[in-house]
Amino acid sequence: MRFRHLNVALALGIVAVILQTTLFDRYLDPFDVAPDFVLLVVVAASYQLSEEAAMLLGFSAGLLTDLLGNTLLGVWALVLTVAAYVTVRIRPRVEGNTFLTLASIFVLTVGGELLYATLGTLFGQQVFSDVNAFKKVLLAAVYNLILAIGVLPLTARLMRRDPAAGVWA
Amino acid sequence: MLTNQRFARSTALFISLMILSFLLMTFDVRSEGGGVTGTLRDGVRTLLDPVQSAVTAVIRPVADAVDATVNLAGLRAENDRLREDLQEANRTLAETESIRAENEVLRDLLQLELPGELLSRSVVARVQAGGSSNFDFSVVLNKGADEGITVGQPVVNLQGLVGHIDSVTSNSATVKLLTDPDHAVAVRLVGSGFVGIAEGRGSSDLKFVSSEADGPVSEGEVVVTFANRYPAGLVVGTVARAAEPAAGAGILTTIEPAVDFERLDFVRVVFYLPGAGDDGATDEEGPDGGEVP
Repeated sequence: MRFRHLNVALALGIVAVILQTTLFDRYLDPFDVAPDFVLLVVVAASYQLSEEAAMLLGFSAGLLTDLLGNTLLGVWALVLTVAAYVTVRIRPRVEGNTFLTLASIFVLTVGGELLYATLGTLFGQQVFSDVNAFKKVLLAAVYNLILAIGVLPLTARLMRRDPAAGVWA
Repeated sequence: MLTNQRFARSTALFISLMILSFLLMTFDVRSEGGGVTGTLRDGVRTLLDPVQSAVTAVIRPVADAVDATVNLAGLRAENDRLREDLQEANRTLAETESIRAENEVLRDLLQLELPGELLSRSVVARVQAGGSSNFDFSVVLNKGADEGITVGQPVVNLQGLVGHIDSVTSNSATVKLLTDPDHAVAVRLVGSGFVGIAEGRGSSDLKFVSSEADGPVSEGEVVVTFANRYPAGLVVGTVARAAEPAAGAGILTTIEPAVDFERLDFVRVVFYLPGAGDDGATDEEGPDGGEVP
């Protein structure tokens, strides 16, 4: 059961990265800003997975994003690993509360994008030179908030917890 | 106890993944996109290029149909505006002929390198994917090294300069767009003749800096490349706002790019590399024989 859930999560991560680079960045980017769909999927899946599986998913999806994009290798891997780790840490407090869950999506998107921008800048990429950097961070978080309404139940259904196990598989 | 063990295990994994990420970043910076990380990147892109192409092929018609429906009212308004423009154009046709003759003389004076010859050594490609995030100013083309594309070659479309090839796999190529904050290009203002640097600022106008400018620049002046990384004479955009030189500091203004980066589709990769030949064009030619569409 553990591996099935991890496999489903990894498949979701790959689909998210493909959709991010084809659908969202090219066509679904109102006001020239796309949602951070990969981060959203990682966070949503992290609400269902074990701590280790969530972090492995974050790292894998981030690495794939780095490899397919034109960014420094490892930046998104780190950002999404942190996002997954924070999600599993706050999960016991926000779970069952829709408002807190959605708020966590918003905050994690803002935090993730800012962490990406900071790391990119530290490693020589002029991310903060983008005059619309803060607009992008905030709008991406708003879009993620809207998409989360559909993505959260979908990931929960795809990775339904095993009631007999009593833990996140 | 079990909980503590689990916590320790997950924290250890977290720290390991952090270290691994930092190592990857360091390797990538030090290898400047080449080496092991470059090979890894090429391998994954080669593997997923067909998937991206297939998904784009499915999405594009749907997106275009939705776009057309949403913009129907806008298209009608634009149609009316174009009719008025046509009438205006007819009125000024005679005047245009004299301006064209003057333009030819000015081109000779400015010694602009017409891109016509260069365009005969090029290949047409289509955008199959965008960047991986809002801070990734690149697009992926559906042609690569198999078609003669190499790193550094300029990419243009009918509107003007798009950017340059940043990385290549056998059947895809990544283009770093003009708007990338890490991108700078030497440019010349056609009207005033000032030379300067156009720098990307993300999804916004380009920044133009010229320390040599000692006179005003006017809004709408055409900006073209000044031979360096790119062949001279490729249209970059127009001056977005007029500016006066500051005392001892030259000119600082913005350029509105000629290219609509949100609607990039077909582009042309020019087989030009700085210093590769007299005209900068490489000997490689695409399988389409360099046909200009």
